[in-house]
Amino acid sequence: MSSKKMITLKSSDGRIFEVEEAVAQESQTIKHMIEDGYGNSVIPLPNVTGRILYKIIEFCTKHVAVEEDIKQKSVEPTVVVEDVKQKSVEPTVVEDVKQKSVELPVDDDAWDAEPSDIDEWDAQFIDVDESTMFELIVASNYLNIKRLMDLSAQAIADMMKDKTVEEIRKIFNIQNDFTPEEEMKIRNENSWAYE
Amino acid sequence: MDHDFNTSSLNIPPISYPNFVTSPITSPWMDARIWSRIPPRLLDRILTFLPPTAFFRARSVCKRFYALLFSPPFLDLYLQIPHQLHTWFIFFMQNVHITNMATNNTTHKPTFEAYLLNPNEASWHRVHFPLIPPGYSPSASSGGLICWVSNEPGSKSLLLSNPIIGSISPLPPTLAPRLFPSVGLAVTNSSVDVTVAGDDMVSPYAVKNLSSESFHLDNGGFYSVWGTTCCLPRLCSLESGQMVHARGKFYCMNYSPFSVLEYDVAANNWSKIQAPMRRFLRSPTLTESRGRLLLVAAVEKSKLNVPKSLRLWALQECGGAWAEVERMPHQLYLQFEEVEGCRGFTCIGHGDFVFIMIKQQENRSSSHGHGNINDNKLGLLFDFYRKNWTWIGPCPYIINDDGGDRQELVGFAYEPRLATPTSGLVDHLAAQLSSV
Repeated sequence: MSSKKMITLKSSDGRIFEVEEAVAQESQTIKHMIEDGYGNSVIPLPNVTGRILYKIIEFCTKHVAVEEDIKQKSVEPTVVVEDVKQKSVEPTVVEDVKQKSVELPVDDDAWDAEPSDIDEWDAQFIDVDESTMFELIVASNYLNIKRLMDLSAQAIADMMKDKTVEEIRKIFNIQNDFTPEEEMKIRNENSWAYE
Repeated sequence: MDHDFNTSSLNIPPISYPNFVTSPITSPWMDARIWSRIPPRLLDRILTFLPPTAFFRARSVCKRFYALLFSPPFLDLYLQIPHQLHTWFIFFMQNVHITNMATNNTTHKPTFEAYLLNPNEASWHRVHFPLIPPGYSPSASSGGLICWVSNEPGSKSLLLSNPIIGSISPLPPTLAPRLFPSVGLAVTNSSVDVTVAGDDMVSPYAVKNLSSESFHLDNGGFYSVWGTTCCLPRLCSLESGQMVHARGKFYCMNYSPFSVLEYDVAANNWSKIQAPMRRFLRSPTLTESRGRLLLVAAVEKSKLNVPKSLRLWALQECGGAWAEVERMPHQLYLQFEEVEGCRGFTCIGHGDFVFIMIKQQENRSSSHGHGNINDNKLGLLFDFYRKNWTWIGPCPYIINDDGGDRQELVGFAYEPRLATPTSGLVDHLAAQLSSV
């Protein structure tokens, strides 16, 4: 296996991650930094904690693998986690995510097939608590990883979709700046959506 | 873009609602301490993923949300995102064509009403079309737009409208005068294709001459205003209605004997494809699912002792050959037949769903008195992915009181979309052409 270029990332809490360049470049932000010549030193990500960065790397690793059409029995995030304070380096593969063989969505004859395995993987990946989901969308926005932004935005929209107008105001701390007459008019205008 | 807020023109009864409505138990708890910190731009992105009903309700939250529908940055975001297709259906009560010829257009109601069916939840919604002029009928649907065609024989006027936004974009009228044509519409974010096919009233001897003319417009600046014409194969018999679009081609049923007509838009060429089991089909309809053309029909082969069934065939890539992809379970088909009572049925497909709708006849009053539970069903909804069949009841907004007009329910696949950029292209073209 040819040695691939590794990129070193540092989270806000000082944890160091080494990832393959292809994986790091899933983030447009990091990709631009690499193109600007910063790929050979540690790239600091002060807006992302180690916990979230780990998850993001897991996501990007998986999607790069899928794109490269690699059939794997298990997917291991290629991460070397170091605690900067420790003197001895202990490379640990923290999580071993066993997967069924990865199949790319096939165009024609998969017409009868169920959604691809990657969709299931994504659904499991994003099945996290609110706090993590919030951090994922904020971090993926900062790192500009479109696929993850969309996945988390969709998941949050799904949580919101049955909420009432008043609940949405409370959840996002939004002031109602309509007069009661205006609000009534708008509800009438969009009455089909309420039925 | 200004909206007219005059609610009296919408003919909607006043809605009373409590100040606070509790949401269903299944709606997950969202902690305001977390979510109130979300930046507005990210919140906008989340809003683009809301299903259409939730988005339109959210417009009542505050003025900023309300205005998003008219905000180009928001709409750009909306258009970029690969959307989970909202595979809905839209239905209209339409006067049957035969009476259209005899009666005046004054019998039409002033405001058109349509009924949306969300197959994921089997829920109904009602939408009004206040701006459609009388004398038009809906004839095709694609990419969130409905195509309306003028009823009067002659050169046909067409309108494209987005029902949930309320926009209307007229197309230039067809060049050939036509009588009850079939219409095919294919809309993407960057192009519009319309094909109108049927009797072009050319021959003075009342002999049908079937031809088609096509309209194309794209954001590369290329357009063709009905200049692309073609003759249909000999001995065709079209029924007016919608043509189905799949993989760059329009398809419609041909009768006596059944076959399928295919129009290749890019090549401007019509051809005929034999239908499977053509002598034994009943109520064949064409529809589309996941880019494949489907033929749905009941099969009755009484002489050969094959059990009656309702089958779905998909047209294969090589063209010309059909493969049976699904068959209604036999027991269910017997129930279906009983409910259907030989009224005939039609099928509409969208995404993973195929809706088999029993033709509702105008003499509902005669069957109304029976109190038979079977009268309460509009049709069967089949979900390809989950492989299940669900009965769908009648639309709760349709009242059986129209004694006079013969009306029937017609349905189309419909994808509710907040933004339909091609209607802007059509408006721009109309402005260009009118200034010539």
